[in-house]
Amino acid sequence: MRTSALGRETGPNTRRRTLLRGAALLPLYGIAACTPTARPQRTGSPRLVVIGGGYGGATAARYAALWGGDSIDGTLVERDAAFVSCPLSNLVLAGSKSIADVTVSYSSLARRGVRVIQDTAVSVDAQRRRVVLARGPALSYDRLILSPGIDFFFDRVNGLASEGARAALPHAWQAGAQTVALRRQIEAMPDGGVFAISIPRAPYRCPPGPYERACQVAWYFQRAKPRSKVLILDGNEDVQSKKALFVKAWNEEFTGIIEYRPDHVLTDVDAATLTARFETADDVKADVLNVIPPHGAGAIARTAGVVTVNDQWCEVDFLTFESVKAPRIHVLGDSIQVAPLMPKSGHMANQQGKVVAAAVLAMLADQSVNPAPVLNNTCYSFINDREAVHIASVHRYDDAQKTFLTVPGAGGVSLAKSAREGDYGFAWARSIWADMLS
Amino acid sequence: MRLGDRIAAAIVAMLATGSLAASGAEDGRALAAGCRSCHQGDTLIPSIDDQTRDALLRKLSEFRNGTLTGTVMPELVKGYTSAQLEAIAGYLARTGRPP
Repeated sequence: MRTSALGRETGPNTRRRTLLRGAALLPLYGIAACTPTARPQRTGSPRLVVIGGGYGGATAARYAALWGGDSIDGTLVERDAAFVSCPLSNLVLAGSKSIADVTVSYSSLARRGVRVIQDTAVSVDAQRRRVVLARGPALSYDRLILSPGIDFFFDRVNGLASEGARAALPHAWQAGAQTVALRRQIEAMPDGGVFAISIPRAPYRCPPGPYERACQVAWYFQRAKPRSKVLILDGNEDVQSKKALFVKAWNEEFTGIIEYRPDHVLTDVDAATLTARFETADDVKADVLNVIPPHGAGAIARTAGVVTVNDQWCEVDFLTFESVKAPRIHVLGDSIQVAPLMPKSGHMANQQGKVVAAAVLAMLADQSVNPAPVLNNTCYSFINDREAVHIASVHRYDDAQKTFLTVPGAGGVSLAKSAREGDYGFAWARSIWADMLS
Repeated sequence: MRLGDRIAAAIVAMLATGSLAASGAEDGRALAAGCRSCHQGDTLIPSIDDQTRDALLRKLSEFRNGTLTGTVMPELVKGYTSAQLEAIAGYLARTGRPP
């Protein structure tokens, strides 16, 4: 791996430090970079464009700036004005956290030297190496990193595609306005009502997330609407993550409140009557119907021609996360066809972002890439407002199989929920947000 | 920067970052970046900066052999080889707190 010109002690970075020292005297340095009228792309340095400022993309952009300094011209395109975290957002549904608690500004990232453009990437022209934006001028790239998260297949569930149905049934599987809308519904629900959550078939974003959500809503019901129920309608045959820990919580902490029903593959919804229909199971009528629709790689990936599996996910070369289909386009995060036992998690996207940043910098400099990347994953699920459980794993690149494999003997899950792990869960969030956005 | 300085800086960087990965050495910079998802100087999660290589390695070894208990760390550290842990400790001890 080439690090000589990219490591912090090297020529370009020594220059960068000098520049930053000078920049400290200029209070406006970086501010222009966070406005839609950001300076134009340079022509001298290799141009890196990152689409999507979530756990994967923001990390990739930040580390490319940290390691590449002014040897690259980096741009991050993000649709939203601020980052809103999916991890911890289930606590917003319960009311123990606010949406502001899970929202972080992009301003610090802009001060790192990343040009942050708030705009929507409409399409990628892989031939001409251009990204078309909704409002601003098109961006040219030498390397493109796609970290677009997920988009939903609303048309795969009858009754879900209309604007009215989508407004009536917030999925809250992308944090932000959706989270706030679902919280309002939960608050407005009468005591004695039923909150039903429909889980799509795996693989889906955040395997333990739906089960954590059930716990969080139940925790709120215990305090505000004690006669209410939570129904988990799982499109899978069993709990997908942290099963023993969740089942214990449902049986002991939320006795009589949470009911789990496997093999509930959703086929139809009626938004007017809040009724869900399934392939084989009986219909369910709810007071709040929370459908997590089937989903796949963010739509921009489709325009780039990098969606290769089931019209849903993007296959990549795991050493570089370069698309197997389109050279110079790297894909990471929830959009990819994952390696065995690799979760679609924010932590994993953050880890991938660093591998991608290093690989892209090496490739732009015509150097060899790290032949043995290692990824780790740590995921906390909150059972209530302060107690959490974790799952952890380590994934190393296997040269023979050209994929990441979990390291035997490493990783594990909590023995039991605890407030200590809850504290670590909150600390994890603060830390990883700094790792992406500070 | 003069050419001589550039070459010297490049050699220092190769040593510091373990850029000999292609020849079998571990990539300290890449491996240490993996730790940064959690270790950012938060008050609860211990800092991995400003420690000596030996102190870092001792702690990692103790997590691995069970002398030191924890929640996530004992599980994660088992996923790394001794050479990888040495590369991480060496890199962090040399470079200190990143910008």
